[in-house]
Amino acid sequence: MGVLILNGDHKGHNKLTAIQEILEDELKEAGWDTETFILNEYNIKGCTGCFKCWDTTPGICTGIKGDDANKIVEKVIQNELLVFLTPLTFGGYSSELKAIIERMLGLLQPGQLIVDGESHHLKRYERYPSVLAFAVTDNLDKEEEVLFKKLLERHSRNFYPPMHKTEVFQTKENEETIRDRVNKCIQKINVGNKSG
Amino acid sequence: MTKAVLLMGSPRGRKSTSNAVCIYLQEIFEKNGLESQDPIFIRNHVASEEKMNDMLVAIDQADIIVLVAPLYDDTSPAIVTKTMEVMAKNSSKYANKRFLPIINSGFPEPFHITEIAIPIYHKFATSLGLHWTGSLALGGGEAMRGRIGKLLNEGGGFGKKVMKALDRVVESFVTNSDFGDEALEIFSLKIYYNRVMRKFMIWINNRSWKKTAKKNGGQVDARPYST
Ligand SMILES: Cc1cc2nc3c(=O)[nH]c(=O)nc-3n(C[C@H](O)[C@H](O)[C@H](O)COP(=O)(O)O)c2cc1C
Repeated sequence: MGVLILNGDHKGHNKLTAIQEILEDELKEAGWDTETFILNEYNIKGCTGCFKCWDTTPGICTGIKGDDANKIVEKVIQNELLVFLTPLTFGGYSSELKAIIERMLGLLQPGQLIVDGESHHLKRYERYPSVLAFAVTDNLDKEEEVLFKKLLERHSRNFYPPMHKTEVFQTKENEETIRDRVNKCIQKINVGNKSG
Repeated sequence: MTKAVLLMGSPRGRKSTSNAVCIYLQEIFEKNGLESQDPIFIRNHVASEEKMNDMLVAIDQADIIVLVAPLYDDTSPAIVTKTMEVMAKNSSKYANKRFLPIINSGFPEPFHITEIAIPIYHKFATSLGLHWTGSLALGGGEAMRGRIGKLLNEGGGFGKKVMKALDRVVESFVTNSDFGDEALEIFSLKIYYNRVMRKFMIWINNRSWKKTAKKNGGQVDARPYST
């Protein structure tokens, strides 16, 4: 089972390094093959909204040439688990993580359908990875924590992960607590993947 | 004279629904005696520190900040998030400036915008001490075809509705009152006829994507990456 970890830290901040390392350790322990991208070390542009990945080269972004996004997006769909790591940014993702998320547009089809009265896009692939989203913050703000959970919930309706799970960590949390929380998430995802 | 800055957050640039909104806003700012410059295209300012600083200076000099942007993945586009992150580093500068986001989406239901994106912008504003004067969600903005360069007055009935709402936004700026949080939808799904029509429109729309992809040599449901 493969997991792709996307670390959305800002250049020079290294706020997410500790949690990334713990996560890698614990995932390997649980039998996952991990691959990590520290996004700020790559050239990744945000989507320009040209829709070429829908109407010209369906499934592949050809609107932006020469950056590193496509090779990462390909790995997204080829893994069973996708992990978002981000500094909590007003309850949402960092710009680094957001840029690559935008480039995943082609993993869906442009066509729409209505689910529970809501418009959503059609799946392009039969199976999508489960999503674990971990945000890190210096000072926990309940409002931001709730927003982050809701964001993932909404985002998942458009991205079809069999399972998604969100956690918000504080930079001051000690390693043991983080490890314990990370482990609980991995267990849930493991169980979900087996039953799903 | 009250100064307003228009931050145009669409990565599409000139041909975008967000820019069509900005063009109309700039016009009515002038008519109503608000001082403003051409909209600032965020996408042209995020790549270099120097350009980012130019944008920050313009924001700094304004009394009113209007952000006009599309909804991307239920939240702000990366280039807008980047701007928010940079502004947050200088947060002491923004106290009491008035802030209003205008966000348009692809899906017709405005709750796609109001559920998360608007609260995130609100959190951003309050964290920086900006004065939240309200927000405007435009559910189904894509259908106004800003992508092919259409202006609001060419956007049919919905375009007219949007222009009226923007008139009220500017009135609230002039009278120094809060606009409040409003959402417009391209068609109300509370009406049975529209719900039926919606299904038909989805069918047409899906067919049209299929045709366009075919014309361009592709297959709309291709699976280029093996799984
Ligand atoms: C990467 C990407 C993500 C998008 N995500 C959403 C979404 O979550 N919900 C939605 O209703 N529309 C979504 N859209 C559609 C845009 O909001 C819509 O096309 C909008 O009209 C673009 O406005 P603009 O012309 O001002 O850029 C997305 C478009 C792109 C390119």
